[in-house]
Amino acid sequence: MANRVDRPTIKREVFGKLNAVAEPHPPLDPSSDDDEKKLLLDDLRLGPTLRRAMALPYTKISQRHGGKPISQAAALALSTVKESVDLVLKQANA
Amino acid sequence: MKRTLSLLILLCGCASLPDGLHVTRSLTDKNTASKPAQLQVTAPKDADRSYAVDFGLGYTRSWSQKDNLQTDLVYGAEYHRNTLTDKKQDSTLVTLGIDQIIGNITPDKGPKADPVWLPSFAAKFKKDRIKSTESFLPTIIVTLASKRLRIGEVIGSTPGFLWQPTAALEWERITRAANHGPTGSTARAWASLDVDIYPLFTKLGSQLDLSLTARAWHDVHQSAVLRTGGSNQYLRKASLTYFIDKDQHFGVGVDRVSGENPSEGQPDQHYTQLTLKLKL
Repeated sequence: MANRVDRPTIKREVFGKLNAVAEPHPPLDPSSDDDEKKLLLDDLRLGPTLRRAMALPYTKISQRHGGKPISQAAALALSTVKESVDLVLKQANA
Repeated sequence: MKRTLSLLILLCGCASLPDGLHVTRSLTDKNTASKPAQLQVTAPKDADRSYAVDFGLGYTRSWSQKDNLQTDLVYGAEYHRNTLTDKKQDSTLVTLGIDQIIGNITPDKGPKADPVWLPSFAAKFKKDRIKSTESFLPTIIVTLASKRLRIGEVIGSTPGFLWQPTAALEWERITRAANHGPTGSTARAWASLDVDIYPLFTKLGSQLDLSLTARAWHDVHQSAVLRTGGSNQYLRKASLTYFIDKDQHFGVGVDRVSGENPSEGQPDQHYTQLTLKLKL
């Protein structure tokens, strides 16, 4: 059975990708729980097409840990940072 | 111009659906795939109550992934129905498609891809019960996300501004028509520009949204028996919505629709309506 990856690891990697794309000021802080509540559209300014394009970097994270890919439809449906971390964590451990 | 009051129920259902399943307004149209499915009940002052449905149910699974390319398979069906006498629409589309992402916007190493291309290739079977036709409809739709061109991100604060261009080619082959109606084919190119303006983005985020769509179709080729008029069709939509709550469950809006959508079998129509919006 594959090793399960923990949430802090995935959270750090997802925050890194969101910081690289959205370039928020200040950047998302992986040690902050409040930053997980941020909205992808209203706080990080990511519209539907950019959210869709994030499926590929999220898939890379998941597969690096032996997990399953993340589809465009699943990435598009995300509305918060927390949902993004949870989805990548779920697929990474699938 | 007709003014009517309507109740619009927007169906997201993302959280409660099994993995891979999604409910949306359209499966392969990138501009409406991000919008929830909808059921609209309209009560005109001088006519019978009517309803309109735009509902798509799809299953997506990721098929292959490379460093800079991801391919997803999409299967599903969408249904578009309007019972208003002067806007009658009743069409079902069954879709088998491929959605791709070409380019990694944030790779682990190396330069970021900009733009990232998002093409869709779909084979659709369309049954139009108003025109009593069945047709086969292969389609290629391309859109993009670009940090350099600021496509896909909200620009500015008061107002915030989001824009999305899309282009497509489709070939509709009518394979069956009732009562010995004409069969033949139409090849169309279309381009679309969607703009969302958030007048008070800093204060309200996307709770207050002016959504504008302009789309134009050009018939590149059409069988002689199918020619009924001009070779261009247009659709313009404007929708001003204010969601009362932060989670955007309850909203009120004004919608203006003018034009036609030959891809979905929507006839030419022009109306403005006040809409109560309920997002589930």
